[in-house]
Parts: sequence; C-alpha cells; structure tokens
Amino acid sequence: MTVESESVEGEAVFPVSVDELWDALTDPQSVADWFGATVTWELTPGGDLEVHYGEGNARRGVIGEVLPYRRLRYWWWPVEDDQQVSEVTYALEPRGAETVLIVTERRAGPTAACAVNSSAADLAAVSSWRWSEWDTRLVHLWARAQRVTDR
Amino acid sequence: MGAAPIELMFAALGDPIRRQLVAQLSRDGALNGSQLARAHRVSRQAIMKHLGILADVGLVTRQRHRNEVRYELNTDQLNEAAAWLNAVGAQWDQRLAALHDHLRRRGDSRSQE
Repeated sequence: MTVESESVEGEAVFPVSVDELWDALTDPQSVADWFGATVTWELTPGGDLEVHYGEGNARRGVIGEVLPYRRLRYWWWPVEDDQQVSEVTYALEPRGAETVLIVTERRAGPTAACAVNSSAADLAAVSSWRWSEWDTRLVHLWARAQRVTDR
Repeated sequence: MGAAPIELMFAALGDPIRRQLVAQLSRDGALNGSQLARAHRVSRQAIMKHLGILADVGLVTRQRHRNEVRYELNTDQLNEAAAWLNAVGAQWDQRLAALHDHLRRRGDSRSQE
C-alpha cells in the first residue's frame, strides 16, 4: 500500500480473469472468505452496505458506483462514528490472462485527510492538495436521491 | 487555540511556500522569522504572513525565546492523519493477501474436480 494525496492505494495482480476477480470481490460468500468480515450489500448505486467483524464491530455504508467487471465504489463508516467516512474504489483492468486490481481508500468528510507520511518533510514533495468536496450528510443525501431517481 | 478542522490545515498547506516552511521546520527545528525569510528568499513580511496562517490552523506554534519569537512545527494533527493512513494501508495489505489465497484455493479446488 502506498500513500498518495489523502488516500491509500494498493495494486495487486491476480492470475484470474476479470470475471473471476469481480465474482470474488462481490459475491458475499467469497468476500466473507478474504475480507475478514461478513459483508452484505445491495450492489446498486445507493444500495446499503453492512460489514460485521464480530465482537460487535461493524461498519455501514452505501454503494456509489457499480460498473460490472470494471469498477466498484462505496462509502463506509464505523457504526459508532458516522463522521469517519471514507470512499473505497476497486478498479479492475485485464492484463492478458491476469487481472490488475487497484484498491483506493480515501478519507473524506469532516476529517478529510491528505497526503502525508509520518515525516512532515515529505509534505514539500506534494505538489497538489485535494480535500473533501463533500461530507457525510452529502453522501447520505446523494444515496437517497439516487434511490428516488431509480424508482 | 484549539485544534483547527483538519480541512483548514490542509487548505493552509495548499501554498507551496507554506509547505516548504513546514518541511524546513520539520528538518531544522524552531527558527525565527528572519532565518526563515533568508532560507526562502522572500520578504520577512511575507514569511510572517505565511507563518501566521500556519499558526492559525495549529501547524506551527510561536515561542518567545529571549528577544525573539521562534516558530516550531506542531505535528499532532499530521500524526493523526498519518496514523489513519498507516492503519488503513495495513488493513488493505492483509485483505489483498487474503484475496490472493482465496483465489488460489478456488483455482486448486477447480483443478481437482
């Protein structure tokens, strides 16, 4: 994982097709096997997301974008603190018989973060700074609006 | 002053000179306005304005030392942001490794069928 701007980004290459990787990323049974939590979601923009880690730890969220076999984006936050919102994106790219997965998690909302390493000196190397243009309320409003539009 | 919202802190860091000031204070420790102005080849007045903005968002603190005011980096908020980034990065490292294992097991079970 690398730290870029206000987000962390990880890239991995899997020796499977895009279809297989998408299935592993989205099928709740498969997700439970690798994610370290039980995930239930309605895979449509505005759909609910619930993540249970056991021992009472849980997160809630909302699906932002579903482009099958290409990209999945959701926002999530700890149940006990809905101000700690972050945006997660899975981007899939076929590469021959393999598939590249790029996972990005970007901190958002009132506590938007940006590119820092532990060393403040690294700040000088950062040429552009982005911060959240939306907050928790906007995420919820957007999700509701999306549901209304879908109906 | 209390901790400024973190967005304000990063907004203050949108200026390249202020980022350079933060980097220098991180490297060299507490410095006065004249020392910082010389290092960055801008007027002392301009440097004082930038330092004021950094102080307003809690990134630097002023300390009176004999007859001068020195500026020192306050990394508390930066450390908080870095802690989040490190924790989230480690979690995704674990998940991606587990996803590798999951797909390998699936492939193995298919080849045995």
